[in-house]
Amino acid sequence: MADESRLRGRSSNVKASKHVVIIGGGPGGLAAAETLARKGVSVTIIDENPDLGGQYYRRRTKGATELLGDYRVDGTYLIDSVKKLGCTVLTDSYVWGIASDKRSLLIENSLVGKSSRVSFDYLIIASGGHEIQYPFTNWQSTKVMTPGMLSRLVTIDAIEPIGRKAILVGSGPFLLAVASHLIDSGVFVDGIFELTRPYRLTKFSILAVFFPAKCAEFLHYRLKLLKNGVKLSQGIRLRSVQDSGQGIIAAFDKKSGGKQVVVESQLLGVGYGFRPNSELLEILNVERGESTIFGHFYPRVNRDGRTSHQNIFAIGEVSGIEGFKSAIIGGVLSGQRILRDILGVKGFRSMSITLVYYVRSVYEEMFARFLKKIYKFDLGDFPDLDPEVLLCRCEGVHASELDGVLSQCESDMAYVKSETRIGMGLCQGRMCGTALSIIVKKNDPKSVSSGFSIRMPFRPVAIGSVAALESIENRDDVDV
Amino acid sequence: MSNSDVIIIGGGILGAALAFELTKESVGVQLLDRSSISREGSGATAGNLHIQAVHTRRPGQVIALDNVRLLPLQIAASRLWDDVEDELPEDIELRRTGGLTVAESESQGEEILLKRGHEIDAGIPGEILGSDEARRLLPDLGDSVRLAEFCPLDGYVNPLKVTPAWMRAAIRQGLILRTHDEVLSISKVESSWIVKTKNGQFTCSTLVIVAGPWIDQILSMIGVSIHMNPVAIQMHVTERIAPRLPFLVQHIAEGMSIKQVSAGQVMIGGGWPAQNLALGKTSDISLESMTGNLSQAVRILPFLKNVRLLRSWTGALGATADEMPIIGEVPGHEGLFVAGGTYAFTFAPLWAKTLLDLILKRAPKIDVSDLGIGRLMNVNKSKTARG
Repeated sequence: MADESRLRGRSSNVKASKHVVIIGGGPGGLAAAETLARKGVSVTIIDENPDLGGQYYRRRTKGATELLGDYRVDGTYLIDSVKKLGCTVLTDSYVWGIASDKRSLLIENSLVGKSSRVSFDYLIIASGGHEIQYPFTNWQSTKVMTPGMLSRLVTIDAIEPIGRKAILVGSGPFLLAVASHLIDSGVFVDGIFELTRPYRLTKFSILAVFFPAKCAEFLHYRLKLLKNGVKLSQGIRLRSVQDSGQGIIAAFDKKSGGKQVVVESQLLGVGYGFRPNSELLEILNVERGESTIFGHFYPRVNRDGRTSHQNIFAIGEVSGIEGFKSAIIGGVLSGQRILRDILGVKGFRSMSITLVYYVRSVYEEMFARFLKKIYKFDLGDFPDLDPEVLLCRCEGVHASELDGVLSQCESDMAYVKSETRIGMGLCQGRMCGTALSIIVKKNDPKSVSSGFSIRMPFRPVAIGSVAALESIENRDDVDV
Repeated sequence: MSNSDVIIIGGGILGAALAFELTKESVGVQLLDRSSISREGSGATAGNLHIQAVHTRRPGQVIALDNVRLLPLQIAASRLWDDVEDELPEDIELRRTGGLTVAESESQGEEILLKRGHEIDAGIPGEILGSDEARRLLPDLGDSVRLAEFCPLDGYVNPLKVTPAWMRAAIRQGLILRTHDEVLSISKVESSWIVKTKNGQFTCSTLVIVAGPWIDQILSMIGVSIHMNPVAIQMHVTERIAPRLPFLVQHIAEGMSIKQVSAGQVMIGGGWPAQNLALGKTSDISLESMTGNLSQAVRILPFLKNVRLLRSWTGALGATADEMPIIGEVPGHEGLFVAGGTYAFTFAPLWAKTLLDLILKRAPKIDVSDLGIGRLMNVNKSKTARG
């Protein structure tokens, strides 16, 4: 691919003939789109939301904008720029599969209920992640949601949570950011309950001094929490939640000593970080890198985000490095790489930009590794489920139904699925898959279980849409 | 080293049903499977009980099967399924919904009339319906349906329930089940079969191979060369919807089966091939089969257009070049039995009883002498039909 384009040189025909498709209109996808479109490359950007922005640059509703003003203005500039540069923007559209030739995506427009094929020469997967949940008694309560959802309610939708009180549970620095959003919106945070013990001075955590800007950010959050009387507990895990009518009563136990802690609040936000939306990468069978206890894996990518498939890139959350800054860096680097491939762009200016982004990318990756170490949890941190816990919410399967199945499963998720129906519902195993992966691994620590196997459609799609694709295919045949 | 009277290789529906029959007669049985039970064809199948004569060509199939030969087997299997439900303590979700086979053209209609004649000879109940009558029975039928046949005996069993239920019942009767234990080699010393696996070595006097797509590989360990056409097929299932489709709906000329199962989901299949056959791994979904199969579905039952497809899956099965079942003792190898091939799910209780009789040297209740693997042995490798 690279050699071929270098030979062709920098003609505008080449620009027009190579088409780049980007999945995900968040910071990473937008940065990649801008990088490419600025040089005249034809770009299509696909996003399932009504507008570009992703999670980080999500657009406020009209009403909320009037009330609260614009949200994250840098995002607004980036989105406007991508639109002005003439990128094809397909919003309200999700990818549910890929054609057999692995050169065209199958996407459904959820507004009109119609599927189409979008062909690409290069594909940048910037599809982000979704929050990881681990079940507990009554986790299906309407007063329980993810931290991201809580944050979105107050910052994007301008909805005032009932009671204006909440607690945050789970793991990761994201909980601090969400607490900050809640406080800014006048919600009282009754406490943050962190599963691991990152907020203490150890020989390792002292390495934080190598990341002064990040330390300052952390101190800013920490002071804000102190000023607002938010208690930060660590090494504590959630066992159950009770709906008290007025609000919720959450029961925790301390990991060391097993001391019980009971907290009352109105709402509970719980999440254990993010898992990548990597279904497409699995179907494409790219080479795998690191895998996690949640049964998902990250693709092996180089600094540019290139996977083992030369024309497929993975950036941002799907590549395993969290945070919008990494996503933007990944977007620029993958975009530059593709430009070098198809236009043969060289020269001092372009090289120096790439170099600067390489340095930033290394820095962000080192910090991400540092965070992974200090927030490191293992299988034992997750409690065994009480029998009454609703494990699979779509199919209504309780933890007790695993009895007798686990002893025979030999870490075989498909076997557990067919015996219990866990993971057969509308969420396609996204919610229960992470938990089941942990349960299966706890049952057999030697196992290398990799989650449910992913197959098309990896998002539900109307049968009529799929059937209509056939006639499109036939038409293609006639054209050829 | 562990001994038993019988070793069964393959933990699919045939292995489970046979293990149940053998242990009921107090025969010592061990069953070996390379992975979990009910993993390939037996777990991937739609679980239909095909009692009316079947259409003769699965998508991609070159040689049409002899659907008339199957009729006495189908009616015998149908009767046995009632016993299975009574005999197993677990609910296997056997539903005799009745099945509708539709025709969209005149020649297809003639094909239905022809097969109806053969069914009458075989004692299979059924009724021919003109397009208006068919639509009275099932108002959701699409405009293209011109003629249909309804057979009250057609139905389905939940494939996820029946194999484990048979297996558990067999274990209670003394079956030793060894999953995740792949067979590495087989030898014969005097009158004993010695089966070496990943985890051990087992000896028996009777060896039964019901390993679906692996039948030819396992037979080759014994030096028996047969020509099989293993294939991975593809199934589709929708989200749950309110009860709307009371029957199994099939097509006379094309591979298509559609039904709404008790969980409310609609299962759509018909033997459409997966993109590839990845034995021991997950075969990829074929978009061409998906669009082909689902276009039939919306043509015959237009209301499905607005129902969401939730999942698709693939599973490998052991088809034969002539698309007919195989069952019997391997010629020249005493104490070595094989069963598999076409419609193994529908035939499972019949094949289990037949194998039991053959193993115990009793005359089987139904003649299967023409279905032995002799016909597939020492054949020149002909070109395979699928790609």
